[in-house]
Amino acid sequence: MNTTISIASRPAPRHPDAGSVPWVRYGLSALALAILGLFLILPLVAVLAEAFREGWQAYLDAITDRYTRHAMLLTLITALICVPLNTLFGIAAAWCIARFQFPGRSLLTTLIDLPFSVSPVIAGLVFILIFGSQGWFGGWFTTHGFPVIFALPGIVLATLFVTLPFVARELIPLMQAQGAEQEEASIMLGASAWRMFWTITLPRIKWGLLYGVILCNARAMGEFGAVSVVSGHIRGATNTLPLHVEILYNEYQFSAAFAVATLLAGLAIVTLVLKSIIEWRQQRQWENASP
Amino acid sequence: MSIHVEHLTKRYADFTALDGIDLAIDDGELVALLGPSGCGKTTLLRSIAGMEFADSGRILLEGRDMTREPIRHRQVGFVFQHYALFNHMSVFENVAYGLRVRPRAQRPPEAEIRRRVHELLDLVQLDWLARRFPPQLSGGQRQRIALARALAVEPRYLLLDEPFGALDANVRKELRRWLRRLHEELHVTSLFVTHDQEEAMEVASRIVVMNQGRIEQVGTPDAIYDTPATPFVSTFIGSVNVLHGTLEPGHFQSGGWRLPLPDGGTTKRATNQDVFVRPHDIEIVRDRHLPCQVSVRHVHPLGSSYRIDVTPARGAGEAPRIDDDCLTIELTRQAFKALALEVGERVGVKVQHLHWFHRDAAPALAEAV
Repeated sequence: MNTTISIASRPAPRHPDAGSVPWVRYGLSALALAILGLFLILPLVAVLAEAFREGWQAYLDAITDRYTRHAMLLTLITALICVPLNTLFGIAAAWCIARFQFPGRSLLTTLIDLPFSVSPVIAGLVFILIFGSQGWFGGWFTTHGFPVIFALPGIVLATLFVTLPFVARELIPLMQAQGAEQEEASIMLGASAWRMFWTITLPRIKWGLLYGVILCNARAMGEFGAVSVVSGHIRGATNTLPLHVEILYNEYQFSAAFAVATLLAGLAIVTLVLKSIIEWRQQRQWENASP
Repeated sequence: MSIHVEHLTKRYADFTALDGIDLAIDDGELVALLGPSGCGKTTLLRSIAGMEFADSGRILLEGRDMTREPIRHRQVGFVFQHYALFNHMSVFENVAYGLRVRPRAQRPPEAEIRRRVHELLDLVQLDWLARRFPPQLSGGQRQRIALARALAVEPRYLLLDEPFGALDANVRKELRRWLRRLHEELHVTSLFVTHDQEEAMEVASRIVVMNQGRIEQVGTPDAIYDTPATPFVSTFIGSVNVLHGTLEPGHFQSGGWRLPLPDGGTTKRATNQDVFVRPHDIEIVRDRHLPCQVSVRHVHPLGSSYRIDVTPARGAGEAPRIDDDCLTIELTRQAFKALALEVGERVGVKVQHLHWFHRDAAPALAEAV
């Protein structure tokens, strides 16, 4: 594993001509920076500028508004349910796929990627079909006092579906590259499977796992499409932060909409910083691990 | 602490890893499983350890049937080719691991763990590395730590999977000797897998030669070298000249060769024979009257010995041809110097020892003189 990674991270041999012509180098760099500025930095600046257009007080009012606070709470609850569940699922799935050969293994690998290839709106519609009032099981759940659609369970289900691949996708290649030898050694020395997981497997995958968890969390908090379909947009009840931004915007409360949007943008920036720190730590771990 | 393997068979989708293996290893032996890659030796080792389960057959440890028993009941220490040290733990914690994971009731107190770990690190002469981490060690040091870790749980059997395979040639030689000494000290029943015949000959008291999921021969290093049971063993162990042809009373006929057999050769005529002659079993004599005359074609100095390629001598004025059958002869440095051979020279040869197998017959029909 270590050798593959160190080879992959080594700079590729440069073509003797590439980069020796200054205008090619500067031209390409300028192009990349321009695209970056236009599509990433500019929108972020626009969000901030719009949010503070009517001053600090209006910004604070918008983000401490009763409905905004409720949307924040709902988003946090959703993430708190979905991220641990998908972390558990991700570890279990990665373990199965990386450590065992069984019929249907490649099918499972493909299925894990399904949420990435299906449009989130379709994912939401699927849950409406199953649990909606006209759906297969919707009637039963509603009559038993446990509505799924237009309620928290629906939002959680849709978010679970959309964020399912993140942890597993991060861990499968990592665990495959690491191989099972250290785990076998642990068992040979008399450790139980449980003990082996906590003392050997988890310490070795912790940075990859954290990376997956952070991406999963970012998506769980930011998901719009699938949640939008199942939530019903009931203010103070089933409105998550991204949906709240949309509602405010549609009501021409532009400043308030952008103020709430800064919360999501802030989450994105925190995610990016954490992601870079983890990538750096992971890189260091690999470098230390290579002979 | 004996190991008995009875008719062990393991098949994968498209090939047979173990094909009815029977093997008995006595208490305190140091045995090598030798064979080319894919011959099933590692599968056999892992089956004994309990990391793989065979389709049929039995594994008995000390007479008890352990075929279906989980790993932890087998009291086996295992050393991996790529060390499999826990990189996130110090050397000390690596060695202590097997003691720390014991159920609370059997776990020694901390002071006892410390004492045992340092004792083992002393045994492998690496106590000074206790606080380092595995990635900071050399390959040879890592493998010795891996061995200390395996010994920490006081295994009754020590299984080593290509233990020196990932090491440099010099380190490998040193560790071989070291493993032998360690075994003499500890006397734990040990089985190691290798594809290196030299390693097997040097370290093991007995060698099990495997090929294509079967055992070809079991014996001491000398027995395997001197009286190989099958054509495979003949070619796999040591270097050998292989000639195909017909045995006749007194000599062997193959292509351009007419080799006189040593005394007591066969009296019957037999076709389709593979004859095996070790390079050091051919003697060069400056004698024009010997029936077998050769031309010296190449001389390769190998340090302590010389390798000489010869072809059948042709009549005077007849040029040597590129497709002449070649025999390789090995001479000690002294013997070569005494002869003072020249390339192109014509000399006589005598074969002192050879053995042959009928090409298509069962291995039992081996004969030798």
